[in-house]
This record gives sequence, structure tokens and C-alpha cells, in this order.
Amino acid sequence: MEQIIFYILAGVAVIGTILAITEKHPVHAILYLVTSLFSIAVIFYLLTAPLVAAFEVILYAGAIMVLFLFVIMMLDLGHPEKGIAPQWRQWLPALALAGVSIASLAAVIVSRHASAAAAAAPAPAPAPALPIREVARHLFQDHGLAVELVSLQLLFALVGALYLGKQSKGGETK
Amino acid sequence: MATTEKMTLNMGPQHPSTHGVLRLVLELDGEVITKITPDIGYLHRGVEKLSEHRTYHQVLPLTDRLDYLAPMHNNLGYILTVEKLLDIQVPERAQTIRIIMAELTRLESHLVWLATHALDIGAMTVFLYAFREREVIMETYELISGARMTSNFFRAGGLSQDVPPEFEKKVRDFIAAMPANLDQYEGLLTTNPIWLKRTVGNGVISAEDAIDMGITGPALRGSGVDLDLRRDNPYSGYENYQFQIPVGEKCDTFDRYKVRLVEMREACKIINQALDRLKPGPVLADCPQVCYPPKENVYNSIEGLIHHFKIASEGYPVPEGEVYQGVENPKGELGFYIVSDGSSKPYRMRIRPPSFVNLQAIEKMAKGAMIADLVAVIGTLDVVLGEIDR
Amino acid sequence: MTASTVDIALFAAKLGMIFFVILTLAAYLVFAERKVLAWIQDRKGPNRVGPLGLLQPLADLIKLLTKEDFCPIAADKWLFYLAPAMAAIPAILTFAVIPFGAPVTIAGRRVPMLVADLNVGLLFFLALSSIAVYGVAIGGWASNSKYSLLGGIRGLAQLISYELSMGLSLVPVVMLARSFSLADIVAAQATIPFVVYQPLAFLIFLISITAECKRIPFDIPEAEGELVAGFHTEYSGMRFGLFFVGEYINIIVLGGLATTFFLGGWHGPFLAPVIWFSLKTLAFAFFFIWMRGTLPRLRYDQLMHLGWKVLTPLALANILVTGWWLALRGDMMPLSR
Repeated sequence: MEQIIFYILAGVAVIGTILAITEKHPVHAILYLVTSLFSIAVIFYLLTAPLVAAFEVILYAGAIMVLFLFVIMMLDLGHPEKGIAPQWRQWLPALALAGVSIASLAAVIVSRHASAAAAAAPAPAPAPALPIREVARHLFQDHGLAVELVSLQLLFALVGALYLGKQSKGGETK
Repeated sequence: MATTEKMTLNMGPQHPSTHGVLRLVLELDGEVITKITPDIGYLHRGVEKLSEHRTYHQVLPLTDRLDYLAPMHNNLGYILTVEKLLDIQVPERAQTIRIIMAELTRLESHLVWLATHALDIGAMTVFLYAFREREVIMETYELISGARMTSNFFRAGGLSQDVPPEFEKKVRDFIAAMPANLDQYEGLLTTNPIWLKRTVGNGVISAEDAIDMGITGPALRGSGVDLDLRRDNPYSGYENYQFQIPVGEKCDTFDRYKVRLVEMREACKIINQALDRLKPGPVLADCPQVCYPPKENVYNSIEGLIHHFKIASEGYPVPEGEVYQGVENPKGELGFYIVSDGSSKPYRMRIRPPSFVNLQAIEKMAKGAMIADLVAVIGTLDVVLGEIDR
Repeated sequence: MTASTVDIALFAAKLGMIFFVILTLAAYLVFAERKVLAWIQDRKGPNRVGPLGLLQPLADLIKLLTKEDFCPIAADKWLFYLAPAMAAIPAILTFAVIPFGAPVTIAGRRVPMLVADLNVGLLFFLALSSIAVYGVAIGGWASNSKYSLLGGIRGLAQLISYELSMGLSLVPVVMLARSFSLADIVAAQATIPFVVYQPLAFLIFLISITAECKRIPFDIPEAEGELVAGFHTEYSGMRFGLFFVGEYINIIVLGGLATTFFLGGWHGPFLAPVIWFSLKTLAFAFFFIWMRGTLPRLRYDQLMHLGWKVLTPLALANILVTGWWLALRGDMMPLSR
């Protein structure tokens, strides 16, 4: 049952992402991306990581994509004819990088599969759902310094954004 | 954000807050308005031209359809102009009733202003409260003239008829309840932080600019210019009444709001004084060339019938000359300029509608503001399209 | 095998009940709003359809269903048709995590009075609330109308300004309850509701949910005096109805959440838990209606100002104070591994 759902979601995610790239219309592209993010969130939930699933939706689908949509609607980019389709040459680096990552993924899967087949181990038991308490303990006790550093970095970014916004708009900080 | 395209938004003529058929062509940068082009004329009926083909008596019904929220005051302005040409004296009782009705009209017009202004800013309840009170005024209109809006009540030389006996009590009761009602509106708005946020500092126009544009009425007084024709150029006996003329300081929407609310309270005081002065007596001047005879004469005597027929069929001749009479309409100075060639029809009539002149200020007041502010500015200017388009 | 059949039947019954109750409640909330507003405004309100006008929602439904389903020319058809559903579905989904009563025992098994006790229930709500705005934005954008577009942009701007303060105002609740699960949060308030400890957070949350369900004074995306009807200007018939009912479902759901987070959920003396929960939730609905009868509307930059410069710092300060308070009370989670 879970496997079927997983494959369906994975399919949706992959197709959604492909459509997000190929779609010329920015608003449609965003919606495809949101669909893909949503199905990835559900996959996370299936993988017993509900916290990650929730954050995936809140942060990516709910905050970042909303900002994208806001900017696109604000700038009125709703005219696909205005956007110039990327040339074949411009696709090349992206395709090369994508090829590298697909190749490495394939290599990993093949090697794992080979080793698993060699060991003939039974399928790994599903991991128990990780309580949020445990996640928090790991984050703030084992990696407390890193968390603080990251939050400090975010603060820098925030101040920087405020400064840039102030400069260009003359007093208005939004 | 350098690449934002300017958006042209067509606001009106069908729009909830353009108060009739005002059309504004807005140029927007995001939601900030960079240009406002008012487009008027959707309600043009050619009142000025029509009046050239009608007798002075027949022009009167056209005037209540100018500012249809203040019909009696329009009637008064026109009648006063004609009376100035005719140079006739109006009896005391008629004068007093005219003042009562003019001030009731001011209350009515301001109530509709308050209602729609508040509704545009989102305060829905004030709208219905104000219309509740307006309904009483409409009933009073109906009581004395038979019509709720197109009153057509005043006549050159006085009134079309005397008021019924229950008139005085109805007005007294209404005026007695009015201060509490005004407190109710103010309780919902005046100290409401959201209302203050939306109105304080909104639609500022300096006294100089307001004078330059010829703005009159509460919109001018809100900018601190102390000008009111009722005091400065009294008509219909306003010089005999005591009342304050409120003046704003900050030239913004909130000050105009305060000015109008104080004006409503002052209007109540004027009506009270007028009701105290109301004494029995004739309501039509003793001037048979101009005034219709009493109905019993028309029905019972051949002279009376002929008298009536003569005025009704060919009107009354008006001496040659040019006059201008301005009255302090609820919205500003309403002026009638009549050129008479001695016949019974105006040679030319020109109306100075306050809303038409006041509407000019809209670009000055709302440029650089947001759509929500523009809506507040339209409300605070209190324009009526019947008067702008004529 | 039979056991699981009973389970499934119970679950399905629960789902059906919830759907039926919420949809009926939403329809009657529309009626209640019209009636209460009428009482506030010194008029009668709907009183013609059925006794006391009680059949008015049915008449509205028939009217909406029989109206022309209009789609503007040059609108983005697919998205135009999809948007109302995108607005209504998250609102209904959120109810899945709200515990609306004490667990009861039916057929020998304990049935919790909520659909799914997620251990990230609170985050689930935040996630869905941030998704719900797509309906507004897409509906506004796909209509190919300038008023709708402005309404959609306003909806997005509004979400950005209240979402943060809403999330932050819930952090103290989690700190007190030590769980993201809504069932645990309710259980933690068995004796004293959190509003006693967290009046400020309650206030911030209340303001934020008012913005979330787009009610006066924050009905900025649809401000009828300014944008005609905002994002749903071009919608008609049942599609408009979906937006409309979605808004009222949202009121119920958000009222239920405020009850759960701050007013102790279904806890209460004497009355049955479900009744307590409904009473508290409907009190919020009444509060929203009351507010609509009293307040004017803010401008959208003023709401952003309020959200970013007033509510968010206050919520952050509140978190700090709550943290210190918990630490000083020696009530912290044990730090040892």
C-alpha cells in the first residue's frame, strides 16, 4: 500500500518538476513546483519524518513560493511571450550537471543493490517515527553551535536585506 | 522593483465607491496612484439649457435633481435668485420654514455623506444607523411636500403650501434625538484607532490650494478657511440665528469629518431656534403677479380660476437684469446666475455646482496615495454626480 | 478482520459526521452573520424563507447552484476553475487535527474525537494555512481582471504579514504543552486554559486569525469599497459560493483552533465536551461577526506595518519571557541526555 502511494507521489514530484522547468508561464511553473514540493512533503511523511514534511510545506510551498508568486504578480510577468526561451546552448551546462548527478545516483543505487544482494539481508524494518522531542534534542544539544551559527547568518542576511531595501527605496522598509 | 509596469485601472462608472457614475481613470504603480483622470458627464441632462425653454416656475423641479441628496437647498438657491430678480418680500413664517428645511436638508446630506464615507472605509454599521435617521427626514419631506426626494416645495414668494400641524412635533422629536445619534456615530468612529489611521493625514489639501481651486463648503473649512455664506453673505434670514462655523486645522480627511459632524450639531441648534420662532401667518407673499392664488379661490371664483390659468400657462414676467445668488449648500457654495430678458423664461441660467468644483481637488489630494486612500478621498469630497453633470 | 471493519466503519462515520456538521454549520454561520449583523444594525435581517428565515441558507444554495457559471474571456480557464477548490480544501483539511471532544468508547474501543492525532498537528495547521492563500492568489490572477489581480496581490501581502506573527504566537503554547499534537495541547489545559498564562499570545493569535479568514478589519483582499470584490470579483454561481463557504469554514476551523490552543479545547465543567467545544468555537464566530459590525477596514500597508513592526516583535518578546519564566520555575525539560 505504502509503496504504491510512494511511487505515485514520486511520479507526481518528478513530472511536476519537469513541467515546472519546461513551462513558459511563470505562474503555471510555480504551481507545478508547489505540487512537486507537496508530494515530496507527503513522501517525507511516509518516511516517518513528519517534522520535515511539515517544514517542507510551511517553508517551501508556503513561504518561498508565495513570495515568488507575489513578486511575479507584482511585476506583472504574466506574459509568456515576453520571456525569451533559453537557447540550446544555455541548456548545455544544466544538462551536463544533471547528467553528472543522475550518473552518480545510478552509481550509488547500483552499488547498494549489489551489496544488498550480496548480503541478502532482509528488507530493513521501517524506522520508528522520530518524535519531535528527539529531533529538538539532537539539534540543540548535539549541534547547538551550528544552529546558532546558522541563525546568526540568517540575521546577517536579514540586516543586509533591510539595508538594501532602505537604500533603493529611501526610507521605506518593507 | 524598477521594472514594474504602470497599470491603468478604470474605476467606475460602475463601482461601489464612486458614488454614482463618476469614472476615474487611474494610473497605478503597484497600488500607488500616479495619475487620476476624472471622467464625468454620465449623468448629463442639460439642466441649464432646458431651463431656457421653461417658465421660471417650471425650472424649479429641475433644480431638485441637481444635488439629489439636498433637494430643498437647491430649490432655495434657485428661488432666492428669482426672488432677487423679482424683488419681492417673503413672509416671516415662510422664511423660518425655509430655514428649517434647509438645515434638515443639510443634516440629510451630511448623513448620507457619513454613511457612504464610513461604508467605503469599511464601517458598515454607521451606514445603516445614518440611513435610519435619514429616513425620518425623508418622511418629513413627504409630510410637507408629498415627495421623498423631489420636494419642489418652495415658490417664488414663499412656499407652495403651509406645513401640516404635526410637522413641528415631528421635527422637534427628531432634533431632540439627533445629538444622541451623533454621539453614537462618533462613538463608533471618532476615537476608533483604525478610523484615525485611515483618515488622519489622508487627502491633505492646503488652504492656499483649496482657495486657488475654488473649493467651498466643508472641504474648504476643513482646510482652515473660515468661509460660510450663511454668515458672510446671509440669505433667507440666517443673520438672525446664532450658530458656530467649525474650521479644521490639519486639512485632512479627519478634520473634514469633524467639521461636518459639528455642522450637523449646529444645524440642530439652528432648527431649534427656528422652531421657536415659528409663528402662524401667511406662507406666500401678497404678490398676485407672481404667486398662485389660494386653491379655494381657484375652485370657487372665476377671477381666481383665470388668475391661476394665467400664471400656469404663461408664467410670470421677470424684470430684465442679471443676478447671482450663492447659498451655502451642504456640499459648498451653490450659485445660480440668471440672465433675464424681461420675459417669463430665463434667457440664460448658469449653475455653479459645488461638487463640480470640489472634484478638481481629487488629483491633488490622492496622488501618490493608495487605492484605499482614494476611496476615502472620494468620500470626504462628498461629490454628487447629479450636480457635477447637471 | 471484523475488528478492522468496525474500525473503518467508525472512522467513516466520524468523517461523514464532521463533513456534515461543518458544512451545515458554515451555511448557518452565513445566516447567523446576517441575523446578528442585522440586530447590531437595527434592522431585521433575513426573515422570509421558512420560519424566522431559517431556510435562508437552503435558498442561497439553490440560488448559487442555478446561477450561470461565468468565466471571463481570456481568463486562465483551468486555474480559474481550480482556485475556489484550492481555497476551500485547506480549510476543511485543517479540521482533521482538531480534537473536538473527549475520547469516547464505542463497541469496546476507544474512539478519539478527532480525525488524525498527528504529532505535528500544530505544524500541519500552519502548513495548510500557508497553502490556503494559493486559492486567493491564483483566483485573482486567473480571472484576468485588474481588480481581481490587485485582490490576489493583497491576499499574498496579507499572508506574508500575519503568518509569521501567527506562528510565533503559537510557540509559547508549544512550550507550555511540550507537544505539537493538538490532543496533547488540550490535555495540558485540563485545569487552567493557556489564555491565563498567555494573554498576549492569545491576542496576537486572535488578530492573526482575523487576518487569516479575511474578516473586517482585515478584509483587505476583497475590500468591496475599493476592489469591488477583490480576488473573487469575476466569480459567480457555486464557484463564488465555494470561496464564500470556504471563508466561513475557515472561521469555524480557526475558532476551533483558538479554542484548542488557548481556551482549553473541549474541557469545561458540567456540559458535555463536544458542547463546550462548540460553544467556545461559536463564541469566536460571534466575535468575528461583532467585529464586522463595529470596525472599519485597515489599509494593506497598515496591516503589514502592524504584522511586521508590532505583532512579530511582541510575539518574539513573549517567547523570550515565556522561556525565562519556564526556566526560573525550574520547569525546563531535563537537559541531561
